Amino acid sequence: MGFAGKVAIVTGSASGIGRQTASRLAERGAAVVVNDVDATKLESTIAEFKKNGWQAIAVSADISKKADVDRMVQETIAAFGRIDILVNNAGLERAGPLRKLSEADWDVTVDVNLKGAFLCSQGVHGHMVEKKYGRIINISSRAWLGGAGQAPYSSAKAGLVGLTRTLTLELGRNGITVNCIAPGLIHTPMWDDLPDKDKAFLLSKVPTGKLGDADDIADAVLFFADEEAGFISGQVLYVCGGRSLVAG
Amino acid sequence: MNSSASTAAETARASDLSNSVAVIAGACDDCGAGIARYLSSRGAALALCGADRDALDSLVAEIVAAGGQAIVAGSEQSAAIPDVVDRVRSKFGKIDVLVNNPGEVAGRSVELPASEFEKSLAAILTTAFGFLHAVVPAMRERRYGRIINVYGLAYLGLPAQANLAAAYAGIFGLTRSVALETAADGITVNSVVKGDIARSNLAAADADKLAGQIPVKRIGTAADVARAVGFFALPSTKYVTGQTLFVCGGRSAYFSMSV
Repeated sequence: MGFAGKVAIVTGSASGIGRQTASRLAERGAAVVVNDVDATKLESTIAEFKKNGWQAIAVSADISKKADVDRMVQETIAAFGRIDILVNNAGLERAGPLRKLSEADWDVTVDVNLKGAFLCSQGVHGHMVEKKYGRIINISSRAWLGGAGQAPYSSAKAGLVGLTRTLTLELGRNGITVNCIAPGLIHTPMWDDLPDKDKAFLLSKVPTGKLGDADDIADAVLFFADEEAGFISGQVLYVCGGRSLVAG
Repeated sequence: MNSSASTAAETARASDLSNSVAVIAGACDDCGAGIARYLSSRGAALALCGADRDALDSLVAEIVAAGGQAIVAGSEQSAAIPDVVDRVRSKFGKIDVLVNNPGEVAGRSVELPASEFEKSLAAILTTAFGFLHAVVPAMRERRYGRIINVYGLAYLGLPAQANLAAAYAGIFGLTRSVALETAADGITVNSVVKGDIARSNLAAADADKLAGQIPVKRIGTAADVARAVGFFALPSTKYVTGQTLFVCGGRSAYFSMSV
């Protein structure tokens, strides 16, 4: 499974799942665009990529803003000449019960998770159509199935499923596949900060009884991003230790 | 932690089936043979089951000639399953991967005779149950297993395919139920659902007609299906269980019940 000659944009890739995904693509030969809204975190990530001898550029951009996305696409084309793979990974969550959520909570959650994926897909798809080749992978969440206290996040992540299926139907004839990954509980820095009783409660809801890690998600992204995955499109793959099968 | 070093280790592990023994229940059709070739190319030792002894013999010969390990384990009929499992254990000592790939059964209207309906259920659903029933206890003891059930889009309820819809939907439910039952035991159970796949008895004109109705505008190949099976069979695919992955060129996006 090699990615030599392929160009990939991974949004929100200065840290966490995005960074691990970008690393795995770069390690296998892809030229990678590392993107984040946090320019400081981006600096240390790109330094590490360069140190490993990987082909990569850093583009600081807020993917919920069309002007930023357009600039990211232009910089990608200027650096590498094409775009083969887009991983819509950037996301954030504002959680809380319905009565406590503000309009701003809703807007920022939907803008980053959903509008950002729309803008990036729109921004890159012309370049993919031109080459009759593309792989778009949206990082949704198991929480799109619904979760108390997660109204904006669940709605935005459900929107990504609709976007995935719609773009599958629209872009399939151009050699572009569009798939979705729905992670469950994944080991991130945020997890480490949780109190032990919250950790135990959350883990009790996972059939495997375990956390996933960033590589579990990266494995799935690479599976869909591969040239040989051309007959797989419109799919939602849950990487959640079986949690999608049970209530809550 | 050096992230590039951990990545390299993960990569090596992810691409490796060289310590895995895989039973393929239904290796005689194009998809079954494709799955066998793919798993062998990734290093798995294979035990092949099916009704067509000559086809299995020649597939084993082909795999062995290419440097792989494979045996004919026997028929995939329910009654033969205990013998098949014993044969695989005595040859390879364990079973890590089970692929249920029921052979082609023609889709029939609800007006088919009840006895024919029962035959379809037996060939597809009861056989899949039989293999799960036979391999899960030892996988539990070893706290490791990868089970992949392969079936068709007809489970979503396509017209005039009552027998297939019922049998495949049965495997869909079985996949999820057994996945939950074994999730804490290191076993994953997933489904690969085939869309329109090329096969030796499909006329070119029919293939073109089918391709026009598929979002990616082509039909699939046994290799497309095999690659998906291979993903779920990997030791590193440990956090995916109970799931259904369609290999259908996007056709599942036309249906509800497909997410």
